[in-house]
Amino acid sequence: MPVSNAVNGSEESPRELLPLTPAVFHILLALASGEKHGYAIMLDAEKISSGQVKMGPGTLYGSIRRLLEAGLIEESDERPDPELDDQRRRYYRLTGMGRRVLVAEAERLARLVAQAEARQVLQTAAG
Amino acid sequence: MFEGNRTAPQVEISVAVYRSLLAAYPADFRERYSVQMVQVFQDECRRVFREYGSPGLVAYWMFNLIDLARTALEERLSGNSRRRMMGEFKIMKPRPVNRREFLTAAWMASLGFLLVDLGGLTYLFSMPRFKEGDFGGIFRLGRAGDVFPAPGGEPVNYPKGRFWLVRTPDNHIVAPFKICPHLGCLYNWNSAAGIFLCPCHLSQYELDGTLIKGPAPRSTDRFVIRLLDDRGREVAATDQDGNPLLLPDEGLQVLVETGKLIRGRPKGEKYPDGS
Repeated sequence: MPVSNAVNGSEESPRELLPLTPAVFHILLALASGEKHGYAIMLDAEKISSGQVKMGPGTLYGSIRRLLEAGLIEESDERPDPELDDQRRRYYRLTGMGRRVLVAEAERLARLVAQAEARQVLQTAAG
Repeated sequence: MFEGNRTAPQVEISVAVYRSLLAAYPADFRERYSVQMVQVFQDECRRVFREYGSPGLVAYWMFNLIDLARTALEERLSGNSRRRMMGEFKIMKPRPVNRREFLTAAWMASLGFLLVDLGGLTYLFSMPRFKEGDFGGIFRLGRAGDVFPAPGGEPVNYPKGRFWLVRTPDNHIVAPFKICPHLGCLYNWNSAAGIFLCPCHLSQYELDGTLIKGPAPRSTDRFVIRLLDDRGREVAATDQDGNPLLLPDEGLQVLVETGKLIRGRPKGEKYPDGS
């Protein structure tokens, strides 16, 4: 990894960053399907969470800053979005590390959900 | 996403205010992200305004002020120390805020709320004060022939607009304000006597509102009636003395302007077309 984001000097493992905050998790998830600019990330995060995760620009770019500094995402290029207007927008994409962290977090959540099902907290679709 | 280039003034003002509020963030953060944050804010404002109008914009502002205050504080606290950054991924638990940071945040938050308040007030102030169909505004009643009683007939009560609809035997119309000019009671139509009678102190008025006798100082106050033709052009309207208005045609559209109250004539004076 090019970015020095070592905690206590150890080589980072995706696990060490877990659990992610909801905003961070949703941003990574939004970027999993390809590079996006800030507003597209915000809309996608809202869609993924059925409207539960609403981010203002402050939360969005605060999280983006931390994700950039941790090397989980990187800046792609700056170009207009044909669907919005002709303003230039900066695009972001996942790094390899970012994808690993996202997978690790998704697995962690899946295990949690499995636990909830096992204890019959959660009714599965069949039941 | 079409019409993206045309920006409503409310959105433009919001964006300008938001841009100035970005001063709450530390300089290095602002330098890197302010342009993008303003873009995102503008995009969302446009969407919210298109879908929900001004209330949506106000709601988005409320949400955003909280978001702004919280994240600006976070950015200031995390400062430049990259060391602590990794910790921030885990549960956000900022260290206690010191006095100066607290005062800065409180100051910024109050400044933000003040700006939004001013913006909202300016907006409301620029709106018409009374809506059509509310007392104080204009009432569109429909065709004169349907709205008014027959000439000399019993007056029609129109409680929503707080007026009576009167037609004198010689086909003049009046819209008297329902409140007695004496002490503010509601007078009633007494069909046996064929007069308006105030139950409080027995002031009596003729059908067109002229004071007959009683403690009241003047005839009933009345609203301006406007008569429009089918193409919306004004044909006739109550004059500034509030004299009963000759109704030239049953088919004219009737508007009553409850924003314009004309005082009744003083005791002893008659209206020229009094019945």
